[in-house]
Amino acid sequence: MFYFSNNKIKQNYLSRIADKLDLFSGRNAGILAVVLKSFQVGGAGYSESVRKRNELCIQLWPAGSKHMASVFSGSEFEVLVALLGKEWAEKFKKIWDRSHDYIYPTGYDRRSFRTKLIETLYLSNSIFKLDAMIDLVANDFSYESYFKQKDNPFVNNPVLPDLLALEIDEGNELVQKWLQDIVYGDNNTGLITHAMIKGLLMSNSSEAHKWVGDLLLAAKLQEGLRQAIVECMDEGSREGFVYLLKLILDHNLARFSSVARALDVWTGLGISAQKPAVLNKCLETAYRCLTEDAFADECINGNDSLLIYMGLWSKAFGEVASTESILKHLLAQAEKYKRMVALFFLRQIKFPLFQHRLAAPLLEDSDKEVKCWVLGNLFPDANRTFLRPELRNGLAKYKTEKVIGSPKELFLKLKNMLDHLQSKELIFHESIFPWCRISTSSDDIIVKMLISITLDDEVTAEKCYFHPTTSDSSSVVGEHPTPW
Amino acid sequence: MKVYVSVKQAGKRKDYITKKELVLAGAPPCLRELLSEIVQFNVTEYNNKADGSWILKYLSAEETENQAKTGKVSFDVLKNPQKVDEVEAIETAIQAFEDGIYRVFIGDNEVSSLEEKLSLKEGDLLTFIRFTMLAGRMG
Repeated sequence: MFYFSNNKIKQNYLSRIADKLDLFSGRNAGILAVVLKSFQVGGAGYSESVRKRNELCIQLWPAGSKHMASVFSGSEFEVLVALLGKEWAEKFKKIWDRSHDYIYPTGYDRRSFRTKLIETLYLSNSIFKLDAMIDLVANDFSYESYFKQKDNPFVNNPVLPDLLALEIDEGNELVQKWLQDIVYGDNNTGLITHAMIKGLLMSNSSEAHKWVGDLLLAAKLQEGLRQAIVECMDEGSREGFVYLLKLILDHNLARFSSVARALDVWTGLGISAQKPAVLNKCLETAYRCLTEDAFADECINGNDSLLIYMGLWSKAFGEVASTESILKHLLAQAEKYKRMVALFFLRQIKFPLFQHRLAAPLLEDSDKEVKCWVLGNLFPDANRTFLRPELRNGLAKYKTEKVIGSPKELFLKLKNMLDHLQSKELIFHESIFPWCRISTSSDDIIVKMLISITLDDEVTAEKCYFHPTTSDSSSVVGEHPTPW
Repeated sequence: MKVYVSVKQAGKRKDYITKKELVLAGAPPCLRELLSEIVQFNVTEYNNKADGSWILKYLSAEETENQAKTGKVSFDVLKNPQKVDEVEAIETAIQAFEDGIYRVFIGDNEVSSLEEKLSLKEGDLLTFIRFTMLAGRMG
């Protein structure tokens, strides 16, 4: 859903706040100034807006920060009051603080993973919500106009699901009544929207979950409605997800393509074109793993790749950091498929540093197919555009990563792969699962090599690679420990 | 008992099947029985076709002409040797009815439930209307 919140009313609103900047001092003044800079239109291009957002992230998340709740707490709360007014600031602070109850990845490539131990993963999306919240307040948002006015400007606002969920949890009867009327069709003017479904699922109210459940079962030929529900199931609360998953299993809803497709969004398995028996096995395992911890352990310790994967998925569903020890154990196993399942799963985590750190040691694996899976986990959020000087900031985090060894070592290991790559492209069909395919090319490896040397000022590509046969460079090139 | 079957599709002007003659073993008491019998009949026909050996290995001029009218001239050979499972096919048909993928009319009256008693008479017209899933996402 496209959402662009830089309307004129919002910009005027921000300008009025900017006039009050002098009333603040110290850290609060710093935060407010960066917030305004980030959200005010400056005719800046994409990279400039990314730079401003990064600046805001750094300002809000000083070194050593651990919890989202510590941001805008204490006297910093005054910044939120200045931006949103007291009433909305209080609501937004609650939304901000409970962000870790939901999944941290966003967009169509998201997976159903949560974390309370690495809360920095929620920062960027929460800032996005703050932007949307300012937009609501600037445009005089009220629930009455949202529910009753046709074509109101708030419909696609991305913070609305959070707000609706909060109101339900805090017992706002009017909001609940409006939502119930819309779901059960007693309200002729209100239309159910994506935000409402998501809001109901994000709440902790089992009654609200039931409303969505009833809607799901009543969808019949309305595949679009079914799709809207199942595709935001994962973005809601854990209880809401488990409740709907049970409904899906009890009513065999996996026969609908929207459910199969949503399963792919939740898990990243790419399984939607498989036979119903495979889909059902996957859904049943997901449900059992989420409801019986012992079963999840049993799956992880078993020897069925799909069950191992779903076991890992269910652990990350609650706490992604809890998978670290399990992944390390799997990556050290002699069975190739176990190492590959772990690497496949790692690719879904959407936590680049974590992926890179766990996968990098396997660059020296004896198996080519395993190495292909490793490559996708190295610098997973970086591509060749990161080599441009103005975008290199995005690589800074990898410089602090001690566990992976020096950039030079990484470069040499990658180079070793490239030297032993017998064709331009290496493809493995039916890798791990019959429907999976993994490939790598000399291009992919070279990009990773170039990224690794940008992290080290002492090593240059020319020195390391372009004269590999000269005696001078042999000491830099080193031994080739395993053939690629 | 002889009845006629028409199949229409919502949104299409031309019928998919028009008044095809169908001979039922008896008068089915309810829609579930009727659907089962029709599916059974079709499955048997399909499976027999898979079994059938070629007697004439060419198409006569008349056949070619007739088939040309339908838009496709072929030997009507089934390339997939797998036979259809009758029980599974019946289950699918019943499930599709429950999901509202198609609706059934006898004459002008809709039969809305699987257990509804039928009073099928000789020469009745059965109409099946196929519906399409509404797949657009919502706002």
